Formats: sequence, C-alpha cells, structure tokens
Amino acid sequence: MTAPEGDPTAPEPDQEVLLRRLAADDEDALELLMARHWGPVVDYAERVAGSGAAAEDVAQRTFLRLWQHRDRWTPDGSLRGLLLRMARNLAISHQRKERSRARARERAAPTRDARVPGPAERLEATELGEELERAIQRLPERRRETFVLRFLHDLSYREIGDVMGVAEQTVANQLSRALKTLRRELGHLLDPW
Amino acid sequence: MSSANEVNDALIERTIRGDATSEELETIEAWLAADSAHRRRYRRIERLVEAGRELGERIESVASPGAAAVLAAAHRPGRGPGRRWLPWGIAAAALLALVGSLALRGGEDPRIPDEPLSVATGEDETATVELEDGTVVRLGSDSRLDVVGSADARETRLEGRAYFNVAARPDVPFRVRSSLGDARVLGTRFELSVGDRQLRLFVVEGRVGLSAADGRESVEVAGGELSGVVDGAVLPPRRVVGPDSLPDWIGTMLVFRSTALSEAARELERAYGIRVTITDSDVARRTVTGTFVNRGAEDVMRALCSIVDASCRFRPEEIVVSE
Repeated sequence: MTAPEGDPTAPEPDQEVLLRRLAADDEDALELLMARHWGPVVDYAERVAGSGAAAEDVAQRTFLRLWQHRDRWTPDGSLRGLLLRMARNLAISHQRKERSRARARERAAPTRDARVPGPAERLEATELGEELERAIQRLPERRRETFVLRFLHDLSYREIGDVMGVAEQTVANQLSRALKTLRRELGHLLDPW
Repeated sequence: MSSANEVNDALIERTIRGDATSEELETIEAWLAADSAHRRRYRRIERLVEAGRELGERIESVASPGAAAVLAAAHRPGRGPGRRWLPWGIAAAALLALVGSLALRGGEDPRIPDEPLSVATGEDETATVELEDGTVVRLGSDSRLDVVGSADARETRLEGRAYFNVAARPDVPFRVRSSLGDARVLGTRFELSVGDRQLRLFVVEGRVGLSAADGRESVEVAGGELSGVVDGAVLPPRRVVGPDSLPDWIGTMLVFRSTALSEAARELERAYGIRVTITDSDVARRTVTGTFVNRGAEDVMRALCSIVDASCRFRPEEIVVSE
C-alpha cells in the first residue's frame, strides 16, 4: 500500500520505486532523485571538470538525461554509479573543450606558474577535513578520482570500476597509492595527540 | 593465504569498513600484532576514513535546485545534449571487457538500450569499449569516439588516438571517419591517430583502405605497414615492423570471440613469450569469448580455463592445460 502524499512519517521510497515512478512521468520522483543525488553529482563533476559553474551545468544535464530516457531505465544496479558515470562523460567532454580553448588562449598569452597557497591560507586550513580536501586536490588525477569515489561517495570497488572504466584490481591499486600519499602528507594531523 | 607483509592500505581500508574476508582479517590481526608502526598506520587510515565520511556527508547535504530547471530544459525546443550517448548495454560490455570476464559475469547496471555510443577520455587515461558488433576499441588519452548512425552501419568518428580490433563482417565494412581522412576495413586490427593536421594509420593485421577527407586519394595499407594523411595528401604505405607488433601505449590487449582455446593459447604465447601446452584435444577445441587488457598471462589463462572448465598448472615459462 502506498503512503498518503505529504505524510511526514512515510518511509522514503527506494530507488526501484522512484525509477518506476519516473518511467510513469512522475516529476516528483525526479525531484526526490535530485534531492538524493544532486550534491554528489555536482561534487564529482566539479572534481572532473575543475569548475563549479561547469559542474552545476554537468549535473543538470545528467539529470536531464535521466529524465529524457526515463522509460528505459531498469531498476537494478546502482543508480548513484550510473549518474556519476554519465556526469563523468559529460564533465570530461566539457574539460576537453575547455582545454582546447585554453590552449588557443595560451598561444597568445604569457605562461603563468601554478598558484601555491600562501602561509595565511595554510594557517586557515588547520582542520583535518580542510587539509584533506587540499591534499586530495594534489593527488594525481586517477588516484584522486578513485579516492573521492570511495571515501566521499562511498562506492564499492566494482561501482568505481564501472564509473571509471577500469578493473577492480586497478581501483584497489590506485586506492592503496592514494592512501599511502595521504597518510604521509597528513601524518601530523592523523596521529592522536 | 596472504602474509603479513602483503598488507596494503586498500586492505586496511576495507577492514575498517568491515568489507574484509575472514582470511584477510586474520592477516590484518597478525600484522597489527607484529609491530606498533603497523598499528599507527592502521589508526591513520581509520582517521582518513572518518574524515572522508565527514566530507561525504557535507557533499550529500548540498541542496538540489529542484527538478523544475531540468524539466524546463527538457521541454525547451533544441535544448539538451546535442549528442546521444553510450548505450549502457555497450558500456557494461566495455567495462566487463576491461576486467576480462565477459563470459563469466552478467551486467547489473541500469541501462539505456539502442543509443549510439560516445566515449571521451581525459588527459591521463585510456578506455576500452566493445561495440555492439563485437569490435573492441582501446581509446588513447585525450580522445573521443562516437558511433554515428545505427550500430549495424558500423560507422564511427574519432578525435585523437585509438586502437581497433574490428570484428570480421565481410558484408559490412567498418568505417572510422575523422576530420582528415577515413579508414574502411572488413576485419582487422589497427591504430589510428588523428592530430590537428595529420592522421597516422598503423595496421597490425589485415588490410585497411585509407582515404583523405575529400575522398580524392586513397591507398590500401597492409599488416605491419604505416601510412597517413598530411595536409590532405595520403602517404604511400611503408613497412615499419612485422605484423602483430602493437604500439606501446596500447599495452597487452587480447580479444577472443568464440575463439578455439588452442588459438587463444597461441595468442598468449605471442603476447607473453611463454609456452602454453594443452594436453587434451577436446579441451583445445572448446571456444572462449572475452577481452583482456593489461592482464598477466596467469590471470588470462585462469579465466580461460574457468570458461572451458579445464584445469591450469603454472610452471616457470609454461602453462599446462588439461581436462
């Protein structure tokens, strides 16, 4: 039996129910799916595309695609993984276009050194979370992505492999390397007083 | 059984999350008991898991702008992605191909059937996809592959670099279009690299017809030959290496489609420089299907033996397969 609409005590509908409602053109189901997955999709897109504004656009296009093909989804497997994979493809496309534009701009502009955070900024980032966020940004691209999908988005090795198009063993290897780097870089913050 | 010195950070992380097997747990316990430095490393990873979880919670709590914006875009004429994307059936096959267990696993993802493929790679990555006709494409870094038209048309468009292992279909040629020229094949293996001004084609096996974008010039390039298009002119093919030599960036890539195990074994011998002996002729005739990218010889052979239900024994520089 379906809970009456607006009942605050009703349990949240699961993925399967929402996908079926989506297939039946239920716009509220899209609203609920966006509420559930928007943050992670934007965050991941930003890490791949490298810009907040682009990430929101990528996220919107990801959910647009979800809606446009609503009659074709089958409700098995991880929807989070699927959304992140769609976002990844869109973000990479965006990034490639941006790089082409940047290369064209670079030809006409002087080169600039990479920006290094100053002491004042480093002083502000004393919390482990903030230091971790900075350290994640310094990881090589694939290690960064693997770490983010595992630690921040809580995906299984298999789901990460599906999102990134790599084998599970590669996920494990990248994760091990990322962890090794991070525990060394953040050692002073990770050890108890 | 794993030994204490095999403990890596990923295993520790899985243990902390409760995902480790009982054997792995035993390994971790022995490893923790062995050295206080191990315990410190464990605690550091534990803190990283906690910190990552906190960041994740912050991400989860970001408010959605609401479905209205997406729905408005969906109803706006001409809005939305200009390109249609990877059919998830194909994507799943591609991903299965990467782990080399096509014949062993079923896909579990939600999927959209009947959609043309589009795959893009970033600056520091490669990707392998299997198309509906069985053609396997390894896409180089910073590249893009689109399947244009229907899957039956076997027509693709490439930006950047890719290696094609084309499924043989004598009735339907496989075509790769690019801004500089087109390659047309019936069943072969080749690498195509499209830059800003020049296109480079290296054929590993078979024959590929290459024509400039304006279609005025064309040549046929055979296995072991290199050709290209520079400033609109098609270069005459020249022999560079023996057939079966793969460009380095591709790594080791083996594609089997209903291939007899005996033939697959010969491929392994060529790729890894090992000897594969099949002691039973019935086993040798059994067929295998799967794609293996950058996997060790033992991994590949184990998977193949599992598919044909045979047993494998590994000796130095030799693998023996028997019933």
